[in-house]
Amino acid sequence: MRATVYLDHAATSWPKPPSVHKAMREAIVRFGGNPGRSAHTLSMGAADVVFQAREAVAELLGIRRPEQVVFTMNATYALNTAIKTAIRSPCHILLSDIEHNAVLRPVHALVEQLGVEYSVFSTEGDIYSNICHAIRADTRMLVSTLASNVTGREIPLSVLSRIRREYGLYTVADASQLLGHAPVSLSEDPVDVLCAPGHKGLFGAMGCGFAVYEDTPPYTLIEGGSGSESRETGMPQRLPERLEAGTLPVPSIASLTAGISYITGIGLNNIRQKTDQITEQLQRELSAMDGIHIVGSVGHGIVSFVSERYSPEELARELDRYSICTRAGLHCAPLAHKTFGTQDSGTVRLSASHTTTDEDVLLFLRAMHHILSQ
Amino acid sequence: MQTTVLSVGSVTYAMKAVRILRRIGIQAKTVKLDTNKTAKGCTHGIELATRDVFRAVKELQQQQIPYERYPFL
Repeated sequence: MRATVYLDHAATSWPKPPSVHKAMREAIVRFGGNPGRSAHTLSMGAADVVFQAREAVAELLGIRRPEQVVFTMNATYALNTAIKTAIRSPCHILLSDIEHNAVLRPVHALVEQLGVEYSVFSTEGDIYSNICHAIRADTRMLVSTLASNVTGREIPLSVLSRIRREYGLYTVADASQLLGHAPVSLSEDPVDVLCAPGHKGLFGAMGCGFAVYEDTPPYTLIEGGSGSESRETGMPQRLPERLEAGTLPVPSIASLTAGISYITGIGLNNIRQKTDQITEQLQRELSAMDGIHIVGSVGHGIVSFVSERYSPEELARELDRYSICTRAGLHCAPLAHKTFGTQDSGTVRLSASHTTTDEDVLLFLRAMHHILSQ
Repeated sequence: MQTTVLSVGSVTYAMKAVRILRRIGIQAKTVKLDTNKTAKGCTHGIELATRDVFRAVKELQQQQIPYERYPFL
């Protein structure tokens, strides 16, 4: 049986470190109560596990108030909440031209539901100037990814923070592809909301995402039990309970704490250095292959490419026969593919992490040579 | 030991308050309050030695943790 070569970390990181398995198991076995609901030891233990995760996220992002960390089921849910709890009337929203559907679709829903308008700014060249030129008198919100999930293109948090400061736009950052790959500091570069999943670069399990809020948003996305202020018909005014209706996924949240501890133990700068080295090697070797074309820039572990002979899906299927896991298609980001000119075919996306070994790279390259020589 | 309970509104703030007080040497624990004694229904608070209340309250104010004496007087 061949060893699995996992190059799909942008979809979800794998394998998870043993500490993550242990944290999930402990959350189920030792802290199996419902956090914030009951007075018994298991419930209080679960609430403590959840608060530890809020502290871990707060420390990772350099903020002092763990209660501003709101847990959701994933980054998509966090982004929907961030976008839809800030706006209830027609206005203009600005997006980058490399957004994932987790941003594009909720904004498009607001177009249909509220008569909102949106436009996209270019991420080519001077991003700050591009955003400034795209701002209109009625622009109220800026939503942008910090790193593309299709190519290595990045949008600095400092640029978004500067726009927020200078223009007063409600600014939402999608850190899904950057957190865990590079340091991100909200104390240095504050935005209104930063959203991320727990299961990608932070190495937690699937089932938990989060949003970090600067202030409490005026509206809620869903309503329900929060474990507090039960006689009130509205949700509590304070975060995080205001935006956390229903039972939290405690085992996944516990795994996030372990995942963050794992990556901070290695060091984000070390992770970036290792991932950059692998990314550059993949780019160099692929560029030298006949009929293979790299799409856009590479970075934070991502290399997207197309083949003259095979469709992305055909190539990914062939690679799977060699136990090599990649992702083909549009990667839920048609806007980004339009920007890169691959909206019809999509790409094959390799996404490595610091856990990718030299042998993994060698096996991938050997498989590519075999496939292309057939 | 005589104890006092302060209501802080939610389990999150209770967890935060306990940690803040621990840093200045005050032991406190998170408790769920009696619903029949609260205006808004289920809520959480912290229980601590009455002798520490003055110092605790000062710290909670500094850290912007909203609190109320419980049972509410």
